[in-house]
Amino acid sequence: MLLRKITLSEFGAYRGEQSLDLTPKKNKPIILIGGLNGCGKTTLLDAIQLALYGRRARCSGRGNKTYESYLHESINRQADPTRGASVTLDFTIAVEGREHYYSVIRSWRLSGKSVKEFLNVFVDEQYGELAKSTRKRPELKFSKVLSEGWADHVEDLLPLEVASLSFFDGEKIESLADPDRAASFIKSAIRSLLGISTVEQLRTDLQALQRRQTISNEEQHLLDGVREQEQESKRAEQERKRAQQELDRLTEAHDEAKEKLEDAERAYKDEGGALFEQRVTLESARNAAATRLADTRVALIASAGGSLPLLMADAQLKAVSEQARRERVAAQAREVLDVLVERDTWLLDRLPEQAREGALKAMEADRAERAAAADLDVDLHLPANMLSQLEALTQTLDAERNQAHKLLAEAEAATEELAQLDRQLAGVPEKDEVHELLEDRAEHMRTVAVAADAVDRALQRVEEAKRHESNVNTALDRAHKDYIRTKVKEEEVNRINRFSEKARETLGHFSTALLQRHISRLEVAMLQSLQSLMRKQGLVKDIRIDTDNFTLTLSDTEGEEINPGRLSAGERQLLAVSLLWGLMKVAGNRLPSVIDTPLGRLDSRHREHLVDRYFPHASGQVLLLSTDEEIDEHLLGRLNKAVAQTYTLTHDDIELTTKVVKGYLWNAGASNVA
Amino acid sequence: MSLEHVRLSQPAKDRLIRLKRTTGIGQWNVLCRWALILSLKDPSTPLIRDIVTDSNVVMDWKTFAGTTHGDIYLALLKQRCVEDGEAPTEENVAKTLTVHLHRGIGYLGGQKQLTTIEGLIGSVAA
Repeated sequence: MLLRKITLSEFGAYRGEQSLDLTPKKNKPIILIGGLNGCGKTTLLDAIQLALYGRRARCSGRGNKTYESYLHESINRQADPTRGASVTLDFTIAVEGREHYYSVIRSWRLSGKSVKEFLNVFVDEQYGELAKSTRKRPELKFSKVLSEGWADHVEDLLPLEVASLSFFDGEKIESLADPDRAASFIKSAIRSLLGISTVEQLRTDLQALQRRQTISNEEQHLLDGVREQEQESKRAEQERKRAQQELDRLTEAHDEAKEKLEDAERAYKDEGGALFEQRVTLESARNAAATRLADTRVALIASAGGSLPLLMADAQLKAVSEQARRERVAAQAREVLDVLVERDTWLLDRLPEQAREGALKAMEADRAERAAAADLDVDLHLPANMLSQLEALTQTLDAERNQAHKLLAEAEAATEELAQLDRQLAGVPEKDEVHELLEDRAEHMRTVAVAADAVDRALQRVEEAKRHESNVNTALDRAHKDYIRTKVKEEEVNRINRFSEKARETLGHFSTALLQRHISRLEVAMLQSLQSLMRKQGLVKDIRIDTDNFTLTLSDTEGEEINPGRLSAGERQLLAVSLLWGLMKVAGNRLPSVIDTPLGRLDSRHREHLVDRYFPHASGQVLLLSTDEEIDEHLLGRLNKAVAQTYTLTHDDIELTTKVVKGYLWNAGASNVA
Repeated sequence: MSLEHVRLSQPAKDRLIRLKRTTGIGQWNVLCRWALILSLKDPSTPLIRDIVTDSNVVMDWKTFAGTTHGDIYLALLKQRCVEDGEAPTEENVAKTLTVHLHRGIGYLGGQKQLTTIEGLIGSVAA
């Protein structure tokens, strides 16, 4: 991980927007930041942690204050609190072999009485792709996903525990100088920084996996099920066999009964066959006669709907006919009367004088007779064609009467025949012998029917038994399969348990070995560091770290244990620095070291050692925060060749604001020395 | 009362229902035609009484007389109306029809011979 740039806006003593380029150069890992006490060196260190971890950051300025009130107080006193403050941290980090450029902006402002905090994370365009490692800042893009889940994401990139190892100030070094506190620090450092916690996590996960594997106790239950089904299957088979035997027996009985019936019928035919056949013939003839009678009746009923009733009104019809004729004559007379008057007049004129008298009388008489005919006593106003209708009716009635005659004769014949056949049937003598045979035959017929019925039922029972048996067998198969599956699963559970136990054991060994290895490397690295830093070369010959409680043990040339109390405060400080350095060496210099006012209690020789031997080699990137007394002109000269950037934090005592100026204290001009 | 609708009394209807069963004839109008002619055949003047046509059996003239001999049935009725001493007005003809129809139904049910189809047909075509 490489810090690229930090920009502070209205943060603490920093007024307006101040930014520092933190990129190291080749073989020049040190970014030297100078400033007098109270200029805001520690604030800068806090800003880096705050940008990354927010609420969880261990800022020195926070103390026991709530996060919100800390943020509130961190807004520059001269800035508008409703516009708020922000910290922007740019950094690059290699994730899975690819270098990514991040820009994290944490800003907050006062809204009413509460503080509103915002976090925006920008990543390079190629985030997730293969990004080229360039020194130039690539195009960045806002990432909503990362912004919302930053707290989790940053824990993947740089866990807080690890970060707190690489960001240290004088106080931390002071506290590490205490051997008891050092022990817990070493413990957590080794666990998180050197990857032991990952192994432990893996072991815990495996255990969780083991616990999830429930060993089923349903195996016995399933086995019982199988046994039960097997018995059921046997029972079903026996049942089926029984039903089959019953069927066979009944079929035999049926066959026997049929044979007997055949015998009985044969006997009956032999003994009373003629009578039997006669009866059959008579019965069919009777049925035919009955059918014929019924048909005839239907025809008769149909003919009743015709003209037949009018046959009864013969006399009345004749009267109607007379009347009709009279009405027709009257009508004709009425029509000719006028014509006749004209004609008679015309005719009289043609006649000789002497004949006129007689003719006139005759003609008048004729006309009077005709007029009388035209005048009817009774006029029924019958239709003009009544006579022809009556004529037609007469013919229809003749035909229908003939038809009715025929039908009546047929009905009578059929009735007669029927009665005769009934008599004959009733009269067929039934000899006792034949009667007995008939009874016998009927008895056998009943037996056969009963037997056939029994056979049918037995057949059904057999079918049912077969179905039941096949169902039971299917269930048995299923139970078997379940049992086998459970067996297999149990086998698998056992295997998982066995192997995860093994893996856990191996991991335990691995963890112990790794710890041992890390500790021995740390011992070596720490001893090297200490020896290169210490003025008294021969004081500490060996450093031992206990693998159980992580306590440090120093021993002198004679192998005698050195009581830490015998060491001076400065020497203890050196021990703490060498512990951190050793850790960084073992961890592989992956992280930037941020070191705040490191030289407090050291004499000039030790300061030179640190400047010469520690700072340039502490890590790939070293942020060194120093006062003018700590890195003075003399030490700066010795350090200069490893320095990439220098900044000075200048404090304006009138405006109470800090500004960032390029160059270190003396080079930056006298303005800082107010 | 008009010729358009021929309506029966309840006792007549009951009797016809019985006759339908015994003769096998399924239609009201066929039985009614037989009844009417039976009564017209009897030259005695019917005892005139009020006939309450209170049943739900009702048919129009065309259904009653059938399709072919409507004129003849009407002519017979008119003639009988005159014979019974009434002018052949429409009202009198309708009254004659009702009176003779009900008397005929009485004859039909009253003679044992006429309650079978063979008897009925035999009475005219023997």
